[in-house]
Amino acid sequence: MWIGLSLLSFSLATLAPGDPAQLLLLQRTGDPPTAQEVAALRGEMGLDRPFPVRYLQWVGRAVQGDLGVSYSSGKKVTHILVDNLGSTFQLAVTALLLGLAIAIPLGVVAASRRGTYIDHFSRIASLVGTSIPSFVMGYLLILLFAVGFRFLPVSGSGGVSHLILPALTLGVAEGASLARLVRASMLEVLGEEYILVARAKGVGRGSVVLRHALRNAFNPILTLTGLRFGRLVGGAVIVEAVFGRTGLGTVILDAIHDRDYVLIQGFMLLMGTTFVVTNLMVDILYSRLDPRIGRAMTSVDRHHVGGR
Amino acid sequence: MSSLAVGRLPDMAHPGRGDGKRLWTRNNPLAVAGFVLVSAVILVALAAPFLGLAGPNAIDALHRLEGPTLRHLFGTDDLGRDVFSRIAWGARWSLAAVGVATALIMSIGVSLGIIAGYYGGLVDEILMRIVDVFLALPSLLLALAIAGILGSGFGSVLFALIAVWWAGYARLVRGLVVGLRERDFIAGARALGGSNGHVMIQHVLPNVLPPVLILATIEMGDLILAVAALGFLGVGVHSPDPEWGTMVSDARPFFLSAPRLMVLPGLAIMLTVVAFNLIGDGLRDALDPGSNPIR
Repeated sequence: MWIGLSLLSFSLATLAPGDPAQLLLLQRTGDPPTAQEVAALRGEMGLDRPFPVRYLQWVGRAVQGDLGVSYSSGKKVTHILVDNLGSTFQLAVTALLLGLAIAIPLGVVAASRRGTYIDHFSRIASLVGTSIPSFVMGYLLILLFAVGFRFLPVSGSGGVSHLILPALTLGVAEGASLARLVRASMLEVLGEEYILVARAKGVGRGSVVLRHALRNAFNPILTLTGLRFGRLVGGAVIVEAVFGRTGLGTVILDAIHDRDYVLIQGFMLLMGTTFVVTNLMVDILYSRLDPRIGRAMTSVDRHHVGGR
Repeated sequence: MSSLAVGRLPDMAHPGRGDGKRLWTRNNPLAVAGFVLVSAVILVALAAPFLGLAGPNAIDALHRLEGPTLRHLFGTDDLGRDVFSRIAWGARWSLAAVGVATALIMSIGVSLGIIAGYYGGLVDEILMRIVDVFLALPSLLLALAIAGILGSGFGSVLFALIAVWWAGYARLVRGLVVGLRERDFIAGARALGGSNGHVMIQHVLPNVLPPVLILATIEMGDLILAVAALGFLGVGVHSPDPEWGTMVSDARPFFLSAPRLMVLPGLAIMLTVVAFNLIGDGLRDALDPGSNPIR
């Protein structure tokens, strides 16, 4: 799996039109380089060696934590990624918590009042929430909070106050789609016989919903949330661009702009690895929490439920 | 499995055609609304050249950054271009990208899925490992990296969408074919002397097509969003071409003085995505009555 990932990340760069050596020289000097200069640099960078050799070299070093040196900045790719990982991670985790804080009440209320106006409202809210592009949502929130009320910084990064708007942007979208999952998951549990038994025993409605149903719906909800983490990081990239926040998003956009393939390769490998590791952890956690269905979920379900 | 049926795809192998259709139109006004909206967007896209609008790149230098007037229904942007016209032409761009991409994604995904499922063995193993790798990367990031590396233009957006989305279809179809392979009518077709190619096209393909079309509808909204996001991040189109995401991005310097420049294309994206998602939800509900909200 990881071999495939690294191969894909590495081959991405070979898709690129143009010769990195030539581009690099052009960037350094501003003049079109001569053929000799290009050839010399190609030799120095190892670009003249065949693809499998270069790939093996890159992977060999990557395993040791060395992803090469960025073309545009001359810094080590590993350093750039590690420096920015924290900021993006902070944003994604905050957004995830916000999303859960929105989704669980909304989904639970919708499921327990199924078919009522509250249910319809929550469905429509989550539909709209998932359909607004995050960049549009980001600017709407800026207009509302930072400009309208003037108490939150509009852009940049720094303290907690800089985190609120980006996290809210991402969290609302995440909450909207999680709310559907929470609702579906609750409906499933509420249809079980033991809920009927509890009701028949005279347990109050609220207590049934919270103590019996939510508790049982919790495992799938947590699992799905975990599986969606990769998607969330993808969303964070856009949100970072909107708010001018430092993080992996800014790194990858700059890398694309500068055609810095070494950096792009390293970034993709990091993302893929994170994603695979998160899914693995979720799998393990899930089968621990509920051994009955630990193996029942197919990857098709996972792909479509979790999304990417 | 039952407690995991949360939002999962409906039972794709047995779409239960007749029932599904009836439920769908009668009990689901939202899905009908989705249909109407999508048709409206398609109509605007098709009619864009014939609406008597100023061209999407035509500059009305005397009327820059103007609010809505009779002459410019949605006003003009910083260069004096007609916003309504740009949104209408933008619809062409988005729909064309998503339509062509979906057709190609389906062809590739379905062919590879059928081959993997039908032959099984080593071919299957290799293809599915490749699928795993593609599914392991967050879709938007992979699309961003591919389109970014290829440079701007319609072709690179198309390529990025295909590269990212084919794998899900291949996985779905392969699963369906593995189920079909053991069925009697396939064995019968082969016993009658049908070649592998004949059996795959005549007997397997028609059976996997309905679920594939459903999946395509469900994912349409995601594709529109991805195209807009690429445009917004500046890796999609060249700037003068009208594209909704790019329009939002171009409006950034003016979003305090003329928020409409950003809100209108934003609304266009949102409404189109809502419309496709309504249809997708309708299909999902119809095919998986357990999750039907109205019932």
